[in-house]
Amino acid sequence: MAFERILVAAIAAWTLSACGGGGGGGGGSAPAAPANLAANINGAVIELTWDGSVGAQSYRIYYDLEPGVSRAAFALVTEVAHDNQSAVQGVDLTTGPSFRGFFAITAVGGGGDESALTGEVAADTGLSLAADTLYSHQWHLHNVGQGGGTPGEDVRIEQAWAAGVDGTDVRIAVVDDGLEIGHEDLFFNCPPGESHNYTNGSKDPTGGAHGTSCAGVAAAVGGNDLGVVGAAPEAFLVGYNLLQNFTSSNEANSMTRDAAKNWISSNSWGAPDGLGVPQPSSSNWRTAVETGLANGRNGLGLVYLWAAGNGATTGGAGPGDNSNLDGRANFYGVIAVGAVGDDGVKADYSENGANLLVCAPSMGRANHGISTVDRSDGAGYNDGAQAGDFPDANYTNTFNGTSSATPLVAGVAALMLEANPALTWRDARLVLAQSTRINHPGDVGWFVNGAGHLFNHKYGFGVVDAQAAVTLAQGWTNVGPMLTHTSSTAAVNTPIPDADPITGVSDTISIAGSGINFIEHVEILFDADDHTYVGDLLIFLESPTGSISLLSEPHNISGGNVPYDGWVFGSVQHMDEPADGDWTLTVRDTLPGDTGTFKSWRLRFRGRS
Amino acid sequence: MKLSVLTLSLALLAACAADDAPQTVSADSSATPSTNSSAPATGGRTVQAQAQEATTLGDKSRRAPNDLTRALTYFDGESERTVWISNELVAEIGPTEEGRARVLQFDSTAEQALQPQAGVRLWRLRALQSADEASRTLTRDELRFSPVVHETASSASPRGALPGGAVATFPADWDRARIDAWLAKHGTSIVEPAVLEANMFLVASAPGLASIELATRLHATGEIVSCTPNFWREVVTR
Repeated sequence: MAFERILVAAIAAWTLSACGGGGGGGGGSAPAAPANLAANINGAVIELTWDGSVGAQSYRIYYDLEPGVSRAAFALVTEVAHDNQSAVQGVDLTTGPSFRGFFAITAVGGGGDESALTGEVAADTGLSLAADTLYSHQWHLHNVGQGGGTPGEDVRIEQAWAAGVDGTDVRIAVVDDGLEIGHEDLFFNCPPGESHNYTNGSKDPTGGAHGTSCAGVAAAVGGNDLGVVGAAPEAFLVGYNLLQNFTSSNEANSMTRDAAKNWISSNSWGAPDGLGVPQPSSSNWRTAVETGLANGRNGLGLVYLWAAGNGATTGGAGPGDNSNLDGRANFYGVIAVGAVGDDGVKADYSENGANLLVCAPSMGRANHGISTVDRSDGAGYNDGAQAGDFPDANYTNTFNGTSSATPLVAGVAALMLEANPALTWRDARLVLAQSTRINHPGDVGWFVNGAGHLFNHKYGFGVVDAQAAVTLAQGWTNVGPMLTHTSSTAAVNTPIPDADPITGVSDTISIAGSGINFIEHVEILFDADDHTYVGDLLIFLESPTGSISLLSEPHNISGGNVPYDGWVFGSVQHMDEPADGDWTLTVRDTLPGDTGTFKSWRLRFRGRS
Repeated sequence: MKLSVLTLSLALLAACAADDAPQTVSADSSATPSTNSSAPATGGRTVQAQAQEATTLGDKSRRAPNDLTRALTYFDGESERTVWISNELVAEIGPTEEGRARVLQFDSTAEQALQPQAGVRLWRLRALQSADEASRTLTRDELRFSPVVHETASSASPRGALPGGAVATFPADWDRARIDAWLAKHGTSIVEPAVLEANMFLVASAPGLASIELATRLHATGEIVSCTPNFWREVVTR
């Protein structure tokens, strides 16, 4: 069933015209594989020709978007009859612009026996970016003030495209609720047979609107005169519909599936937002991510993108939920992404965090959403009759959340990795962080860390800048091996004064001889497991240089309290600071009514000499 | 440089302190974006429930009571964790019409709770002795049920279930034959690999609390890297 759907999509996407017709007799054994297969490009038409095989009744045309064409059912484009009148056989495939792929064929005898595949030929119909019909609505890529936005508040992607970088040969895995691989504006970026469905084991994860829209933001086909353009319009997409069958085993599997081929894993999901309590990741997930970092991309490591969370407005007052309470988004192996609106100001829902590396445009001011792919024929967000949405129900202009910001960064990361495929996962993080554009410059939250980097707990290091990221990536020399240093656990065991926002309890850990001169990530293990309302606590870490990671701000919680029982905060804020020196953790209970004890803490640094 | 860093850091804390003051904000949620695509036809915008949130920092009225009493522990790596068993919710794994009929046959007053995501259907049982007993009774052949478990003692906390199996990670130098033999000795077997490179496999158990029992038993041997129950967890799109 899944293959039929792909094939239907393939046929819909390709217009076929055989060069010849007729039939012919045949024997019972397989004919020889055709010789001299060639592809000639004529506009948007791929003309395949080959020498006819003796005994052939017909020829089967197979394709793939990546090298390695197989005779799998999902790779079959069509079957054309042998032309008895001509020694040279052929077929014209009209793909539309922006197709890149590979073809191989077989000869089929009268008894149905099929020859081996020919060698494969490449075909590329070329690309004319920014010609797609809805591109002018994609302010996140090119903001000229559409809908009242601020011109220039985008990811500056056109300059990167103009430099010839479009995500070619980079593969992005979208782990989500599904991916409509047959969508007209995704199909030619989705290698056949490479996605995975966790509900039935098939290769077709079609079914979720959210993942489909995420995929469109990352890598909708560009230059095909259809719909929208992805940030990396020539990148490959695979979809894993984990959220349709979310088990511990599947979660771990989705982080490492095809880790040699996937370069980027885009994750716009997580624990429920807005609860305001710690929600840990599982050890299986962490093991899987660490496996992807160590072994993925042939040892360079997958680049994991993670939506920071949308819970900042829940709770009704204060900062709401914090991304650092999400044990996935604050893990050292992922890049947490926040959201800004079309004015460069934080989207009100986007969660703060010392773990935020970067942010990217999404729905913010005036509910100005992101234009992207939607499930076909009204099966998604837009049924074609939504007020203000596109008349074409295959697209929507309402996509939003840190969900949308995340695949946008995934697309930018694809451009970086195309520009410099040797970047390790750590180098990719550093390039992203050090090539950002400082948005919302008037915000009081910006400060300079001890290494001279501007940081803001609302924005991380700023808005991703594709042009700057690609330029930096092209000239980047990979950093040295990662060093890890873990402090001893400091036992504090001091009651935290209740309703005292000024004093609190502070404790200092002195680090010496770590060998880490340039921090990349700090983990802060914190224990106050008898405190009965985590929302009371203001917790911040001061580095030897005096820069401060704000780990928890007072906030309301929803549902049941979850105490800080060995909770691990993450901070990227101290990037490039040295680890050695005195680090002070301060805990203040700012609100009345609940009490507890600052029991212990510990630091773990990752960085380089 | 250090002086400017300190100055800015103090400014940051001052800004934070200003945020700490009790404040009242608008309850208008019209700008609230989608946090969940479970209602894709609307684009997920404007979650009305959020308009009912507390409006003052320090208003703890939305803290849910700890209403659950039955807890079980398991190991997540080396960390001991606890789940609390729901008093009323049972999860149907892989919802089917046959499963619905079976639930209604078991308890004609059963109601379907909000379905958090595909793959799991939650039932609120009225004639319930205990969620795990009900799950064991309901599970038959291809129909799998699990008690709903919560991450805290509050039934308002995120939900989970146990669709069956445990995730076991074996030492790196154990080959497949050794793993198979070891599992057979402990009365189970591999269902499928989870992360082959990490020697991590899903191993078989019945759904429900049997999953925790198996994971705890294998973990307690001390011979393998880790073993955790195979949970379904409530997660959201963002």
